[in-house]
Amino acid sequence: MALIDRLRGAIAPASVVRDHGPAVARLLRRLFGPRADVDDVFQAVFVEVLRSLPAYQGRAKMGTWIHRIALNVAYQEMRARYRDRGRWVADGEIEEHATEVDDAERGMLRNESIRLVYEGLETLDPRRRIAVILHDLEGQTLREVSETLGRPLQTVASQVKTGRAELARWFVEQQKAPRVALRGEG
Amino acid sequence: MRCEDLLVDLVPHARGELDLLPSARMDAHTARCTVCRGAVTQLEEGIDAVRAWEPHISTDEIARLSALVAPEAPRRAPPWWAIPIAAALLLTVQNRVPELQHEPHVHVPKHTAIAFAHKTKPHLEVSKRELAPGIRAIASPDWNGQLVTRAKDDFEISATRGYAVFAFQGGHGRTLRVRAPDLEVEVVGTQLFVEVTPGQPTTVGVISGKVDVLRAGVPTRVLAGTMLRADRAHPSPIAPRNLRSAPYFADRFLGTHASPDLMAVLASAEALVRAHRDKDAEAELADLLPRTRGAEMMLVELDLARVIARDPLRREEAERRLGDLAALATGEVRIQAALLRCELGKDRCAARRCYEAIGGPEAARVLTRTRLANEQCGS
Repeated sequence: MALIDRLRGAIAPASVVRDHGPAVARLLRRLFGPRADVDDVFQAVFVEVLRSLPAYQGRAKMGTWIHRIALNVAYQEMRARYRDRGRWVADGEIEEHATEVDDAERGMLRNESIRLVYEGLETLDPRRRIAVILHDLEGQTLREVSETLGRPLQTVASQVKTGRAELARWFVEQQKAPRVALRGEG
Repeated sequence: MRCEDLLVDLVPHARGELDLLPSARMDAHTARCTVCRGAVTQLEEGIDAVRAWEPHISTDEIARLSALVAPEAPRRAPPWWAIPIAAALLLTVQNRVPELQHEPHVHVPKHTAIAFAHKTKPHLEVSKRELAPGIRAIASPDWNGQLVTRAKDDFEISATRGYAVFAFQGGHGRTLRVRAPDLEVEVVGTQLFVEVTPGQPTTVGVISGKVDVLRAGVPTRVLAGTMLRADRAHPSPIAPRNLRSAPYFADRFLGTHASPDLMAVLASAEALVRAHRDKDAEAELADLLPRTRGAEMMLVELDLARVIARDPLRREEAERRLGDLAALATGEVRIQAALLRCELGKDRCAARRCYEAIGGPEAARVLTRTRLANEQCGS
């Protein structure tokens, strides 16, 4: 089917990016957080998609197929950034989430909460991080995470458990840090 | 009970997943431990906020990201005759492709090359041909490819028009070259695709194994999982695919300080470059240059040099601009200018020497990525 689509010119690279770009951008934003620079990853996802297009069999919907590629590329990028952690600087501005209904203060607090979660997540090993994101933030069941990532259920369960404990440890450390500072000031 | 013992339960507690007993134990602990109580509160708020958060991706953002990947092509409605012909094609190809792959006498080769070259708008009729034993093609009627047998088991296919999908039975010293107007693909073994569309860079993607892409006689090995875009106007000694676009640098160098005007012009110039309208991109950047200062000016200058470098007849000018920038600029702009200048080296050895002279992790990465480090060069 994919071959015929290509012969018909139905799957033009530009149209793939146009049709699936927004969903991929949203997914990457949710995986990497509001501050992260996802341009590179976005490019890498579509380079991979366009490269793999000839092998696309049409067994899954194109959106699902691209979603899976995006997750894999994002995971590779997380690994690379994890290796380079300390050198990595997130440049992006936090998006303003305050709506007309929310007052500015609530919006700021919410942004701060989101920022903290992603900061904590960045300290996790990428295998655990992506499992925690999909399970705890995206609301997937362990079985769905296992299918999405192509990992055994037991492995995913273990990764989520360890990842959660590491995230909790980071939050506890964050709680301790200001107390020490306050004591010092006092 | 220590905080350490409860870490595993902290996230489940924040998500309300804990059973009664562990939950009561956690409540008892957080009632007297302000650290854990604060952590649970922050986790609860954070997880709720992230789950409720729907990233807003503006149309402009999508356009900018899309421009980084592929040039915008106008969407064309299929002609009236396309649907019946497509249906016929569907039947034809469905019947023929399995034949091609599963005919009993065709041994499924270890090294199979599949290449397709689009030279014009794809036509809907295809024909199946056996060009030579072990080389089969499904080609459009306007495909003008010709097979030349250069020696026993040494084949070359040249085409300047049309598209074709090839199935090549490799191995045992059999070689195949696919020649397109702006490049040649030497099939070392395995699967690849070649895509040539008018007005866009020719793309060679390797699915598994490796191929050598020859441009102006200079080979570039493309490995599995990577893609090379060959731009006829920019026959660089190394693959220019990793050259970052100006908007990318703007984010990196200027962060939130970049003015919207600057970003708009850089994005527009990038889109023009991708649409092969280098002159227009250059004019936009040259127009912007006098209105910028400091880091912004260096950024525009870098992008201008990058556009100029795409013209083979203006290499010297680009080199001069980049040399000035590498000497005058600071930080990453300086490094990027120096790296880009190396890319203009007359051959791979010159490029390698240039990168080695720069030194540092960035240059080392390029040397590794482009395999220049393995180049056999004299001292």
